[in-house]
This record gives sequence, structure tokens and C-alpha cells, in this order.
Amino acid sequence: MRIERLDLLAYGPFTNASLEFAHQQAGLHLIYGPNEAGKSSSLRAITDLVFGFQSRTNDDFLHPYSKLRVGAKLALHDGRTLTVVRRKAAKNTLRDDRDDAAVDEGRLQDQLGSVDRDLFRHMFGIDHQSLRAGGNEMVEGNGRVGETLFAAAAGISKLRSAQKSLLAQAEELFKSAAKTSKIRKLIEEYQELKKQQSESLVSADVWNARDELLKRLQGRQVTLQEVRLELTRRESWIQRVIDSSNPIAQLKQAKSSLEAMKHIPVLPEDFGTQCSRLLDGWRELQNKIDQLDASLEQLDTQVETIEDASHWLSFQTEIEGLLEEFGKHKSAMEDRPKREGERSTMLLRMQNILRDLGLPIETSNIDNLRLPPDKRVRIQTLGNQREGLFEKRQSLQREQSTISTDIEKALSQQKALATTKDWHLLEAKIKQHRADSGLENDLDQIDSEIRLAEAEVNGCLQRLQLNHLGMTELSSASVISDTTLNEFDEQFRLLDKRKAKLVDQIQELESEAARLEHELALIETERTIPSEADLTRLRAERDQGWQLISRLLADETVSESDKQRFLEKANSAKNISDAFSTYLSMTDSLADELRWHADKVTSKARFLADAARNKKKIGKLREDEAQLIHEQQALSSAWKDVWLPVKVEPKSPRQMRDWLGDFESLRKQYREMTVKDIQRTKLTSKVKSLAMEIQALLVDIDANASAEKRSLSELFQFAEDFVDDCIKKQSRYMQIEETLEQDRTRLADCDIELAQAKKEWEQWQADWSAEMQRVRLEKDALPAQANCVLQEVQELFQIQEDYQNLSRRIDGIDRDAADFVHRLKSVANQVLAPSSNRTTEQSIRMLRDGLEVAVKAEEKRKTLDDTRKKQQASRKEISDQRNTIAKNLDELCKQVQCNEYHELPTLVAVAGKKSSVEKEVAELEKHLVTLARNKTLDEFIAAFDAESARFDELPMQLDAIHRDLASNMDEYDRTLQEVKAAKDDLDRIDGSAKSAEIAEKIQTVASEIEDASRETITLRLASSILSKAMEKYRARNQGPVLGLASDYFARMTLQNYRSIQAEFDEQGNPSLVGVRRDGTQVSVGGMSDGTCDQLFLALRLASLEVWLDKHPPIPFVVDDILVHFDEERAQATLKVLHDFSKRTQVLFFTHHEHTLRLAESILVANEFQIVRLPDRQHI
Amino acid sequence: MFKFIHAADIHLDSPLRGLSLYEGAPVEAIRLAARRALVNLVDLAIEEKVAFVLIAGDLYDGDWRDFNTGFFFVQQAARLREASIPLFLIAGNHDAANKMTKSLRLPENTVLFSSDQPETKRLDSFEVAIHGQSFSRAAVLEDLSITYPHADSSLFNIGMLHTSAGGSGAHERYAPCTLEGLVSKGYDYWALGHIHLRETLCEKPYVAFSGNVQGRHAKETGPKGCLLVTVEDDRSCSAEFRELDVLRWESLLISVTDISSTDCALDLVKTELTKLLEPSQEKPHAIRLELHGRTPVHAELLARKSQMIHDIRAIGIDIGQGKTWIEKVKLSTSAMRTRDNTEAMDGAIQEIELLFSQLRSADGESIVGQLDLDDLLKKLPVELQSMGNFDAPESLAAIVNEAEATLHQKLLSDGAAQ
Repeated sequence: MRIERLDLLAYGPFTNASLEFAHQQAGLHLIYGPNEAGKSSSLRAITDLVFGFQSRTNDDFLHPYSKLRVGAKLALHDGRTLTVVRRKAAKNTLRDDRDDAAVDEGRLQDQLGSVDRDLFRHMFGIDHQSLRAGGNEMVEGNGRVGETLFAAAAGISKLRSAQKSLLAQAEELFKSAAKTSKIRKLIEEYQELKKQQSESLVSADVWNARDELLKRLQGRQVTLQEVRLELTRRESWIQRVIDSSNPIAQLKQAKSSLEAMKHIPVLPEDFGTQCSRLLDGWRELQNKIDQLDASLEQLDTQVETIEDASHWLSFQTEIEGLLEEFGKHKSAMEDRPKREGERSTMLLRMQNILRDLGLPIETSNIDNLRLPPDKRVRIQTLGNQREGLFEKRQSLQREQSTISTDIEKALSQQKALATTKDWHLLEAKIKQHRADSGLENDLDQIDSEIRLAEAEVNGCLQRLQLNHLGMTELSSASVISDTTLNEFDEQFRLLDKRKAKLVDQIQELESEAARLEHELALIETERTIPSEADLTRLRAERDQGWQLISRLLADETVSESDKQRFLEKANSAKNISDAFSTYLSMTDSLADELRWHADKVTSKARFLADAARNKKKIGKLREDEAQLIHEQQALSSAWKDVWLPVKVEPKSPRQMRDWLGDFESLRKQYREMTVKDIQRTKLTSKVKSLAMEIQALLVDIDANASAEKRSLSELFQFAEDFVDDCIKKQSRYMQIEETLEQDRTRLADCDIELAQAKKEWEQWQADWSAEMQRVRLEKDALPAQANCVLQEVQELFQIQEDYQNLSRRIDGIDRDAADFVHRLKSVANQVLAPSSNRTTEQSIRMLRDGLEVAVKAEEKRKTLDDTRKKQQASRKEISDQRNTIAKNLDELCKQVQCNEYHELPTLVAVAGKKSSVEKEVAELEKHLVTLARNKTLDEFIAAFDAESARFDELPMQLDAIHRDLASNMDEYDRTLQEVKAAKDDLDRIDGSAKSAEIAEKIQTVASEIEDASRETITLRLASSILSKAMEKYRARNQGPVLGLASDYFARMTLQNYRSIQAEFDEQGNPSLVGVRRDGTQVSVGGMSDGTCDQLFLALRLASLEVWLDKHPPIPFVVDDILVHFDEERAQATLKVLHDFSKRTQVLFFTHHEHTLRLAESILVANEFQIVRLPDRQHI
Repeated sequence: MFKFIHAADIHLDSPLRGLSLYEGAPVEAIRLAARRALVNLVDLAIEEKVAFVLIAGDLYDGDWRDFNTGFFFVQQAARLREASIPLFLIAGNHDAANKMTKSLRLPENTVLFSSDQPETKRLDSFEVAIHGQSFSRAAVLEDLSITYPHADSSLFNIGMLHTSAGGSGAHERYAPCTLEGLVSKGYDYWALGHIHLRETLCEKPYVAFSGNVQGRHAKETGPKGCLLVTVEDDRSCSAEFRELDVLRWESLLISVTDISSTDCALDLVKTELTKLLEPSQEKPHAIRLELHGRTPVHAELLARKSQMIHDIRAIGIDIGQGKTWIEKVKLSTSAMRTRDNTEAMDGAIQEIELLFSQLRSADGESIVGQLDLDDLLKKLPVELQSMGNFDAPESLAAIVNEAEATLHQKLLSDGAAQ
């Protein structure tokens, strides 16, 4: 396959760019693009075209993923062509030339055979980094043949690192000797967990053993309990026998005394208590009855001594009534003289008022003065109206006069505001052009800008040495283009660079010459070393002598001059034969000397030869230098010629680049200035016409409103003020007119109201005069006067009424007094002795005292009566209680058959004694029954009697039992603890999950070990396969690859090396060595970096060539590999690549112009093609 | 009408296998899974008020020796006793191998059938007869069902049997029997154990394996639990599966044919995982995930293998809300175009491909021979030496594929060269 055209339709920085690879046999194409031109993008584009876009790409910075396109026209190995477009998509990414239908991917893949993307990138791509890396790897690996050939063939520059990394990874996971390797650590963890698990788990055997132990211990516990029970039983029996010896003796004694008391009756238990309680009660009640009888007798005596008060008490109500009324009677009698005085005062006052009203003072006349209430009201109403009516009339008159004055004033003001002409036209004009009022400022601004720009342009012209150019010529002046300048700059720079290089080379050669001279001097420090040339020269002279001699021997004529010249040369000789023999010995000794100092001679010869070559080279370089200076001069003069049209003396292109920049900005400035000038002219005329228009309008309205010589903005201001004034005047006139209208209306209203008020006033005067006659006043009396008379009359009537009331009250007092005295006398005469001489006060006092004494006597009698009744009731109650007790006592006496109450206590005491003995017997029997436990009392006493024979031995038996019991308890406690411990042990097996959890962890670790082991095996397998593959590849390809590579290497190293061979190194491994021209072998470690790179490149090309022998061609993509090569080797390598390109297309990407020139210098035009990436601005 | 539970193969305290730890793995979710499944079983019995519970063998794991496990079982049986639910057990091959079966004292509600001969237990209140026989030793090779008594026609008859039935497969062929043999006994229900995969062999009479209660490794996928059997008054019965597992094993096979990037592969994984986890979002899962199919990104996938595994586990953590354990990620994809073996193999890389291609057709022994694994195997604990089955053909094929991918990545991916 071969790429005929690469279409960078939308890829990286490219849009619709195409690179044409002209048709040659296969072809070497140098694709040049400076930095940033998209060289790397085009490199990637080839891979993406062939294998499709990868999921992520960085070439989408201009075109989005969906738009990315790269296409190509491909020449297939069957001779057909295929034009395709590759897009970035999920499916059907290979399209036909118009990008509208999918193309079968297989058509492209047929061209590639088994090469996939990765293989393509490695095998068919090379750049200077991978070349250098490949070289370095080769050195590091001592040029091992297998490794190196494999790396070169696969295009893998880091094969050794890959192999190392595989082994390192595998060892990190597992290394038998390293405990820190992952698997070893995991195994350790695994074993630790296993240990923990076996510690934590409890097996069935352990459980059974613990269970057995517990059962045994529990059995022992039961036995001990039984023994203890038996001992305790025996202990208890003996103790009981001992304990019952006393009670049994007591029982026997009590029973015999009871026998003696069997005739004594048995009394109820509470008989004694009951008996003494009843006797005590009976005695106490009898005492109380005796005391009450004495007290009753004493009360009867007291009642008899109290006096009879029944007569007084029958008048009690009447007397108390009189005593109460007496207070009122007394105060009425004191009040009466005061009231009499008040009545006289009232009479006097009435008389005075009558006198004031000019009437006779008899009070009987008063009624004639009475006025009906409606009349009184009417007089008051009329009086109140008078002030209002009067005031209303007055104020209406005042208002009438004020309004009239206002109207006159307004009329005169209105007259003063004369209207002006129509000013609306002017107002409209101002509005329309208001925005233009600032035009003058703009004009000033532009003016000053133009002046400034002019000064700057002139200054610039001076600076750029363009004084000879007028401003107007500036725009038309032609200066050189950027391209021309760049070309000159590039040429100048190239010449400078070449010159610098020449100077360097000359210096280098000169220092080499000096070194050679020094070496020569060193060789000849002791003696002058002859050279082969000396010998040759000497031999030639000797041979000349021999020719002379042979001619002489043949009798040929020999010119004297020849003879003489020969003799002169052998300055010591006298004749030709001597001279010849001298020469002969000289040549011999010189030859000997040459042989003796052969090494020095050789050195000298080499130095001399080197010096000569050096000198020649210097000469050549000097010539080149002269040529270069000539070229520089030619270029300078061409440079100056370019600048002639603008009459400027040019400096260096770099400086002139700045000059051009300045010139361009000058031109720009000038253009801007011109534009501004046109603006200024336009503005000036606009200002002028506007001013005239406004002036005309002003004069038209008001001839005095002239505003000539004013600026436009002032004129606008003046006109605006003028219009404002007109507006204000008109609005004032309208206001006054409105006020006038209102005033006129108000005046008409006022006139009507005034007429009405006058009429009301007259009516009132008539009414008032009528009423005044009624109250005997003048008809024009004031309302205040009328009011005063009305008040006096009113007061008179009031006093008259009070006077009559008072008289009636005094009469009442007198009546009441007479009645009281009469009733008092009647009562006193009934109660006391009848008498007519007693005063009212005396009667009253005597009645009060007598009643008081009678009431007190009655109260005392009543109290004594109550006490007697209470004591009689109490005596009856106590007597009943005593009788009840006596009945009970009688019953008791009957029970014990006695007649008197006092015999009872003795009989009770005897019966009590018998009962206590009976109780003792019962107590003892009860105690013994307890001790007898499960035996009856009789059985127990019988058993006791049986034991009593050995009674003395019992305490000793008891001691022995106690000892046995103590030891039994100790053993039991011990067993109990053991049972508890065993039980705890068993309880500890409680279903805990500890062991299960550890088992889970073990599984996790086991799984990790499995994963890591699998990974280790995988890595080991990968590594082993890689080693095998290298060896197999070597075995298969070593011969052909090394053969081809030797040729390439020799050519690239300019035949410094003749071939590459595989030799065994010190470790016995086959390693690559370079064989120098002279047959010496140089290991890769002994080669320079550059040579190593060339060796690796040679191997790569050779491997590819071997591969191409059996596969259809695929383009080889080279990326600037020559950057570290010297010029001659670079040229040689280009030549090699050209030859290689006959096998398959070589696409050589570079951003060094230099590389292009190298190619041009070594290859003829049809051997290669230069393709330039489109300029960035044209992309 | 009454209900009972048929369960089997509890394998109490047997740990889950194959789960390597990684950052974010739901360690808590796998803790004591078998125990928790048993607790779920007891909970279900109590909640459903079942008449009795049957466990058809393999209560324990054969080589498990911790007596605590037995006690844990006793505790759970005691919970059933509190609820007055009897529990019937037969010993399976694992139980027969375990000493605990003989030593442990069971609560009074628990009956372990004899291993000497078939026994019949009657539950008069439900009119039920349960027939069963335990394994006396781990490997019982004869058909135990033959000696089982014939049905008592007045009762509902249940047979309990630990058996491989007619099948073989992954389970040992113990106490084999035939369906006809079982049916011929005239029982109403056969509660079978031993086979971990749930299966109904016959519906009339009902003959079924309930499967195990908790999946233990990547091959025991899907819901695990017991059968809740309802017996009607006319002695007809129906069985309903009830989940008991606390961690679900699933295997997710995702085809990545036709995808254009590894990101697409991850998107697919995300979608498939979401689909898988959605119906039972709450339950923790252990998932074995395998990408397969011919894909253009085969090389890229393999080159980024560890990153892919990491990313997929991260997706698992995200979608599974921290409850999903990605047990393994297998990349079994293949390249769109495999190299033709007949093609001239004269390049360097082709040399590698040729060697791998030869390995694939070589026998396991020769490959293992090449690897020299003695040093590694010698260091591994004995019980782990056979764990990975590294010499099994399937395992070797995977290793060969991975080794090839690793080498490819080392040599040809970015950073390796140009």
C-alpha cells in the first residue's frame, strides 16, 4: 500500500488540507512543517486513517469529535486505487470518497496483513527519541544479539525495561527468598489466622470431656449431701434428747400438783377481770348520785329569795316606746325657734323685690305679676336673635365692598400682560436641533486632534528619513512587502550562519594545523627525520647522475651544464663518479635512516600528509569564505536596491522590519487624519446654517430679540430662555382671567344675601316692641334689660313658695309635742303613783330606772331554773347505769354461789392458781412435741427413758458428729467450686462466632493468595514467552538481518565501519560488534551515541526489509530522526532512506529546513519529493 | 390446613469463598452469612406459624470442628421450641462426617432421624407421618429410599432424604435414587437435600430439592432459601419458595461486541449492574462479572485491565450503595481480527503471537512444566496448592490470554515505545 494523497479534511489544526505524494516507484517524501504547523497531527492522522480514531483524541481542539475527518487516496498492491474518508464514530467509520457510504474495513485490512495499530506504530514508525532510546537500550544490554534484533524488528525501544518490569512485578508478588513479597506476606497472614482459628475452636472431644467432668463432679456433690443429711439427723436426735431432760422432769411434777386441785371449779378465763371491773363501776356511780342530790337542794333555796317584777314587766313595751320618742321630742323643741327666724327673713326679701319692681309691698299682689311660660320664652328667643341679625347685615356689606376692589385690581393686572406673537415655530426648531448644540465642541475636539496628528506624522516622517515625502505622497509611496523582507532576512541569516560555520571550521583546521606542526616538532626534537620524499628526491638526483654516467659510458654527449649541476648538488665531489658514489651512499644512509626510524618516519609522513590535507582544506574554506563575503555583498546591494524607490538607506532586515512596522502605523495615522479633516469641514457648515435659521425666527417674533455674534450654544440658550418667558406670561394671564370670573359670581351672590338680611331685621324690631309692652319696658329696651326683669319676678315666686312650706312645718312640730306629753302622763299615772306635778323629764327618768330593776330580777330567776332541770336529768341517767351493773353483779354471785359482792375477789384468786398449773403442763408438752418431731409425745418420752440409761455418753457422741459434719462441709464446698468451674467451661461454648469469623477471613486471604499466584504465573509466563520469542527470532533472522544491516551501517558511517557481526562476549553471550574498516571490532559500548543510533537504525531498516521480502509494502513513517546526526552522516542516511524507499514508501516528517537542503545536496530532484504542510494562516 | 418448611444444606459456619478484599468491599455484608440465613429460616417459621420444620441434611460443613457452631444451632432450635414448632433433621454426608452431629444434645423439639434404618415420626395433631433416615457415614452409595416404609394412607406422608437423586454434576453421587422409586412409596411430599440448586422433580406427589439457604461461592447464584409448603385439608399441597439468603451471588455476562471505547464498556457495565440490582436493591450482592465478545477495544481493555477492574468495582460500590462485592472481573473478550496461524510469522511480535498460539493448543502439563512453579507451590500451604486449579485447562487458557495481554501492554502500549 502506498499513500498518494493524505486529506486532512478536519483534523487537528487542519481544515480541507491535502498533502499530495507524487507518484514515484515508492518514494521518499520529505514533509516539512515548522513548529506548530501540525506535523504531529499529520503523523497521527496517518494512523487514525488506517486504523480508525481512538476513543480519546486530542486532535479535536478545532473540530468536534463528530466532525473529525481524515481521508486518503491509496494505491493498493493489486494496482488499484482506493479513496476513503475516516470519521470518528461508533460504527462504519470508513467511508467512501464523498463520505456518504460505508466502505468495507476489510479492503484496508487486506493491505496491512497482520499488522494492527500498535504494530504499525512500532514497526512502521520511528522518531528520534525512540531511535535514541533504542540505541541506549542496546548499549545497556551490551548489544545482546537476540534482544537487539528483536527490539529493532518490532520497533520497541524499551524492550529491556519491559522484560525487567515483568520480572520485578513477578518478584514483588513472589520471590522464594524474600519474605516481604506479597504472597509470602499473605501466606504468613494465612498461617497466623489458621493458628488463631485452631486456638479459638472447640472440638466435640473437648466438649465431651468437659461434659463428663461436670457430670462426675455433680455426682460427688450429691453423695456428700446425703452423708451430711444423715449426720445432721443423728446430731439433731442427740441434741434433742439432751434438751428434753429438764422439760420431762418438770412435766411430771406439774401433772401431780394438778391432780391435787381437781375439786376447784374452773372459771371462765375473764371471770376475775370482769368481776373487778363491775365492782369498781358500781361504786363510782353510787358516789355520783349522792353528790347530785345535795346540789339540787341548794338551788331550791336560792329561787325563793328573788323579788316579783311582773307589774313592771306588763308595761315594758309602752315604757320602752316612750323612752325612744323622748329623744325626738327633745330635738324638735330645740329646732322650732330657728325655723321661726328663717320665715321672717323670707317675708322681708319678698317685700324688697316688690319695692324694686315699683309695686306695693303687699305680698298679695304677687300673683298679678305671673307671666305665661310661652311669653317668657318668646322674649328670650327674640333677645337672642337680635345680635345675629345685626352682625349678618354688617358682614355682608363689608364683603360686597372687598370683592368690588379685587375685581378692579385684577382687571388692571390683566391689562398689563399684553400677549406676544406666535413663538411655537421657534420652540419646534429648538427641540429639533437641541442635540446639535454641542457641535461646536466636537468641532474644537476634531480641530485639536488634527493639529496633533499633523505634528506626529511630520515627526514620524523625520524619524523614518522620509522628509522628502509630502504628506499626500505618503499613501501612494510603495515600500517592500513582508515576504521580500523575510526572504532577505532568511538569506542574510543563512549567510551569517554559513559564515560562522566556516569561521568555526577554519579555526578548527587551523588549530589542527598547529597541533600537527607541534607533533612534527616533537618528532624532530632530536634530529631531523627524513621523509620518503627526501629519499625519492635523493634517488631521483642519484638516478640523474646514473643517467649522466650511462650516457657517458655509451659515449653520448653530455652537456657541461648538466654535469656541473650534478656536481654542484654533490658539493664535495670532484667528478661525476665521486658525486654518484656520494649520492649512492647518501641514498643508502637515508634509506637506512628511514628504516631505523620507520615509526617516526611514518608518523612524520602521516603528519605531513595531514598537514597538507589540512592546508588544502583551509584553502578551500578560505575560498568558500571569500565566495561567501561576495555573496553577502551581492545580497547587501540587492537589499539596498529594493529600498531605492523610497529613497531610504536600509539597515539590517531585522531593523527594517521595525521600520516597516513604524511606516505602516504612520500610514494608518495619516489615513485617520484625513478622515477627521473631512469630518471637520462638514461640521463647520452645519453649525453656520443652523445659527442663521434660529436668528431669523427670533427676529420674526420680536424685533428686539436680536442675538447676532453669539455662538451656536449661546444662541440656543438665548432662544430657549426667550421661549420660556413667553410660556410663563401666557400662563399668568390665564390664571388672572380665572380669578376674575370667580369674583364676579361671588359679588352677585353677596347682593342677594344683603337684601334678605335687611328684611329680617325689620321684622324682628316689630316683634320685640310688642313683647316689651307686656313687661312694662320701653319698645327699644335691650334684651339684657328684659332678661333682668324676668329673673326678679321668677325669684319672687320662688321665695313665696319656700315661705309657705316653712309655715306648714312649724305647725307640725307644735302638734307632735302636745301628743307626746299627753301619752307620757297617762303611762306614768298607771305605773307610778298618780301625780300632776311631775315634769316630763322626771316622769321619763323614774320610768327608765324602775323598768331596769324589774328586768334584771327576772333574768336571775330564769338561770337558776335551767340549772335545776339539767341536774335532775343527769341524776336519772346515772341511777339507770348503776342499776344495770348491779344486775350483772348479781349474776356473778349466782355463778360462784355467794351472796355479797365483796366475797367475789377471793374466790377468783383460787381458781386462777389452778389454771396457771394447767398452762405450764400445756407449755411443756408443746415444747416436748417440738423436740419429739415425728414421734408422738408418749413415744418420745418412752425413747427418752430408753436413752436415759446412756445419757452421759451423749455429749461425746455429739462432738464426734460435729467433727464429721465440718469435714463434710469442706469437701462439699470444694466440689461446688469445681462444679461451677466445669460448668463455666462448658458454658463458654455458647455458640460464639469467633472461629467462624476467622474462617471467613482465612477464605478472603486464600482468595487473595490465589489472585496473586495467578498474577505471578501470568507475569512469569509473559516473561518466559518474551525470552523465547527473542531467541527464536534471532535464530531465524540473524543472518539476513545482520547482512543487510552491515551494508546500511557502513553507508551511514561513511564506511568507518565495514560491517556488523555477532561475537561472544565475556559472559559467552552472542553480542553485536561493529567492524571497522581496518578490521578492528568495536563493541556497542565503545561506540559514540550517534554511531549507536545509526547502528540501531541500520538494524531497524534491515529487519523491515527482511519482513518486506514476504509482505506487501506498508509506508514507513519517519519523524525527524536526523537531528543528532552530523551533516555527512545525515546525508548518507538520507541516501540510505532513498534506497530503502524503493522497497516501500517513506514519509519523512521534519521541521528542519536544513534537512531539506541536505536532501537536495545529496539526492537528485526525481529521487525525492518535498511536501510542505500548509501555512498555519491558510489552514 | 397447615404449613411446614422444607430446607436443606445449611452448611452452618462454612465461609463464603473466592472473595478477595478490596477497598470499599462490603465486608460486613458477608459476615456469618450462613448463620444469618438460619436465623432468617427460624424467623420465617415463627412468623408463618408453621406446624414443623424439616432440614434434609448437611446442617454442618463436614470438616468444620467448632462446637460453638452446634450451640448456635441449638440456640436457634430452642427459639423454635419456644414457639412450639418441632424440628426434624436427617444427617447428610457432611453431618455424618462431623463429630458434632453425635455429640450435640438437641432440644426436646428437635428430632434427628436414626442412621441405622428408616424411622417414622407421627404428629397426631396434624395427622402427619414423617419418614427419614440419616447418613451413617459420609459416603453412602446405596439407595436409602428402597427400605423406607410404604405410606400410612390415613396420614399425610413426608419422606426426608439426602440424595444426589439421579443427577451427577458438581455434587457427589451419594444415596442415589430414582423418581419412580420415590413415587412408588405413596408419600405426599418428598423433602430432598444435597443438591444446592433448587429443583422440583415432580408435583404430584411433590418431590423437590429446596436448594441451599445461602449461596457460598460464585457458582451458587440466584436467590437461595427454603420451600414453604401449604397442605390443604384434602392433603393436596403446594410449595412456595421463600428467600433466606443474606448475600446474593450473581454472575453477570456482558457482551461488549461493537463498542467503540472502554468508557462505553463501563457504561454498559453500569446499565447491566443497575438492571441486575434494581429488583432487590436492598440485598447485598457478590457479583462475578465477565466481559466477552469480539470487540475493537479488546487490546485497550486488556491494556487497562487493572484500571478497568478498579473502575468496575467503583461502579459496583456506587450502584450497590456499598453493598455489592465485585468478586471477580473476567475479561474474556477477543480481538475483532485474530491472526491467521497460517500467515507468515516472521516478525518479532509475530514470534510472540506464534508462541502463545502454540501454548493454547498445548496440553496443560507442558505449559505448567514451562512455568516452573515449584518454588511457589512449595511455599503455599498444602490446602491452597490445588486451590486455583492453575493446571485446569480453563484456568490455563485464561492465564495464557492474560499473559499475552500483559506482554502486549508492556511492549506495545503507550509509554512502552514511540
